[in-house]
Amino acid sequence: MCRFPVGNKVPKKRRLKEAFFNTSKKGLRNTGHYRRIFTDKNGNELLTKENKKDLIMFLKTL
Amino acid sequence: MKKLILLSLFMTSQMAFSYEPDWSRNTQIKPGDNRENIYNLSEEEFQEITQEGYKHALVYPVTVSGLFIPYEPMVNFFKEKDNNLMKLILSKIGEKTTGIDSVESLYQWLGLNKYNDEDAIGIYRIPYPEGYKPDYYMGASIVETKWGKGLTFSCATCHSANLFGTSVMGLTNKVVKANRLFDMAKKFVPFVPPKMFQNLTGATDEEVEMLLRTKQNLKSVGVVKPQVLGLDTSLPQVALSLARRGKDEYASKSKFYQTFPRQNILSHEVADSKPAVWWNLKYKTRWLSDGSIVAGNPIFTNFLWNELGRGTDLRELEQWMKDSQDTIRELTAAAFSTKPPAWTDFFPADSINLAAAKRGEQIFKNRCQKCHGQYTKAWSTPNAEELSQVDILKTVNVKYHKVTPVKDVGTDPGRYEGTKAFASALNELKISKWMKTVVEPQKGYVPPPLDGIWSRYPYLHNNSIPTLCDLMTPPNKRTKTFYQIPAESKTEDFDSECVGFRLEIRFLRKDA
Ligand code: HEC
Ligand code: HEC
Repeated sequence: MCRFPVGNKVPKKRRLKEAFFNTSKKGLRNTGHYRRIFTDKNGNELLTKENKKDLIMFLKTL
Repeated sequence: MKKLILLSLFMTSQMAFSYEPDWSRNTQIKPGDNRENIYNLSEEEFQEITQEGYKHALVYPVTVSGLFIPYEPMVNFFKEKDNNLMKLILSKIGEKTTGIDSVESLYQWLGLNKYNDEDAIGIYRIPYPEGYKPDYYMGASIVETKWGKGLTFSCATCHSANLFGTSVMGLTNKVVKANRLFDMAKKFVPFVPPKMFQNLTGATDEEVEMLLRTKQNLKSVGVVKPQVLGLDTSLPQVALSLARRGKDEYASKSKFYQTFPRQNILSHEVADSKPAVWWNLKYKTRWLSDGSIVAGNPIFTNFLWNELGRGTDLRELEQWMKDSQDTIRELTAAAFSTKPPAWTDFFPADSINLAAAKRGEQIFKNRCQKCHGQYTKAWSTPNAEELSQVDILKTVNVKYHKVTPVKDVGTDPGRYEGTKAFASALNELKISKWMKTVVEPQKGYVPPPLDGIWSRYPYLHNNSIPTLCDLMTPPNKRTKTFYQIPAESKTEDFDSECVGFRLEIRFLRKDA
C-alpha cells in the first residue's frame, strides 16, 4: 500500500513549503488519543471498522 | 434618527449589563445548561448587543494598540511599483518577492476572509461594520487614531474562516499568517527611513509619527514563526514580548531588556496551537486548549495578550479597558453566542445515513461521552417523526462538565508545557490582577465539546491529525505528512467520508 507521499491530490500550487505538515517535528506530533479510548487497557481494539464508520457518521451531525 | 438609535443603544447597554457573570474559578455550569446568553439579556438586547459585539470582533476597538500601519501612505506605497522602499523591504526580509502588491493582496496573503453577501442568513449573516458590505476583509481594521487612519487586525483575523466559500464567525482560520506578519515587520520596519517613507507615500507628519511609534513598540515584541500554516504562536509571542519589558507590574518598556531579553524557553521550544473555535465558550469554565486560564473573563485576557504581542503600553491599555468595559462586554456576549455550522448547511441531509448515525451515537455514549459531553439528538425526542430530514439531525441539548476538565491522553505536550514559560509573569501584572485573570499550567488538554467538529479539521490542539479516520487509526499508522490547505471547494479540498483533508490513505477503504 502506498503510504507516501500523501496529499498527492493537492494541486501543485498549493503544495507550499509553509503548508507542509510533518508530524515528526517537535510540537507537531500526532501521538495519543488512542489507548483506552479505542482500545482496552491491554491495547486490544474495541471498535471494528464498521463501528468507526458509524461513529464518524454520528460526529458529522454534531 | 441616527441620534435616536444611538441613544436607545446607549440605554440598552446601560441597562443590559446589570448582571455580571461569575468569572471566578469556583464557577460551575449546571449540566445541560450553557452560557450562550452570558449576560442574561432579554431577547431584544441580546440581538442588538451581540451584533455590536461582532463588529468589535471584526474591527479592532483598541485605539491605544501598539502597532498601527499608516493606512493612506500604505495605499500610496502600493501605487508606486518598483519603488526604492519596496527594494529595501525585500532585501531586509530576504525574499525576491512577497507577492504583496496591493492592500487587497496583503489581506489575501494574510489569509483574511471576505464578508458574506447581503443575502446570507442565520449564523452566516455577519454584520457589516459600517452598515454596507465592506471592500476590506474580515479582521482588517482601519482605525481612526490621533495620528490618522491606522491599519491593524482584529480577533476575526484568526477566529473566522472560509468554509467552502462561506465565511464562518468563530471558526478557526486554517490559513492565517498573523504571526508571520509580525515576523516580517520585525525584519524591515526598523530600517524604514522616515524621510524616504514620507516622500514616497505623501504621509502627513502625524502619519510619520505613527510609523515611528510602531517602530518603537516593535522593539518590545518578541516573535517566533509558526512551524506550519494553520498554527499560531501568539502565546510564545506573549512570553517573548514580556521578556523584553521590565519586571514591574506594568511591564514597563525597557531599553535594557529590549536589547537583552530575558531567557525564555519559548524562543526554541515549540508551543504552537490552533486558534480555538468560539462556540465552545458557552460550555466552558476555563480557557485555552490546556484549560490554563482558570479565572477571569477570557475576552479581557485575550485583549491583554493581543496587546502584549503588539508592544502596547499597559498603563494606556488599562485605562482603555476601564473606559471600554461595555465594548468588551459586547464582544464577550457575541463570542459566547456564536454557533457552529451544520453539516446540512453544506451537504444534503440524505448524505447522512440516519441508522448509521444512531449506531454511532451508542458507540459515542460508551467511548467518548465521559470526556466530550453528552449530545441529545432531535431524533431521540418524542416528536421526532414530525421533523424534517434536516431538523431530525440537530442537537437539542449538550451536557458538558460542571467544571471544564483537563486530561492527558498522550497528545503532544509542547503546548501545555509552554504555559509554564509565562504564567507567573502574566499573573503578576497589575492589569491581570485588576481583571482577576489567573493562569495555571496544566498537564494535558481540555477534551473540547464537539459541536461542529466536522468543520474543525485538522484535529487536536496542534492540527496534527488531518481527518477523523486518522483520529481513529492507531498512532503508528496515522498519516505522517500532509498539506494544510484552505477549505475552498467541498469536493476538491474535503473528504466528506473521512471528514478532513483528502489523503491517499483511507483506512476505511478496502485497500487499507
Ligand atoms: C493571531 C491569532 C489570534 C488573534 C488575532 C486572536 N486570537 Fe484568540 N486564540 C488564538 C489561539 C491560537 C488560541 C488558542 C490558544 C491555545 O489555547 O492553545 C485562541 C484562543 C482564544 C480563546 C479561548 C477559547 C477557549 O475555548 O478556551 C478566546 C476566548 C479567544 N481566543 C478570544 C479572542 C479575542 C476576543 C480576540 C481579539 C481580541 C482574539 N482571540 C484574537 C489566536 C488568536
Ligand atoms: C479520556 C478522555 C477522552 C476520551 C474518552 C475521548 N477523548 Fe477525544 N479528546 C480528549 C482530549 C484531552 C482531546 C484534546 C487533545 C489535544 O488537543 O491534544 C480530545 C480531542 C478530540 C478531538 C479533536 C478536537 C479538536 O478540536 O480538534 C476529537 C474529534 C475527539 N477527541 C473525538 C473523540 C471521540 C470520537 C472519542 C470516543 C471514541 C473520544 N474523543 C474520546 C479526551 C478524550
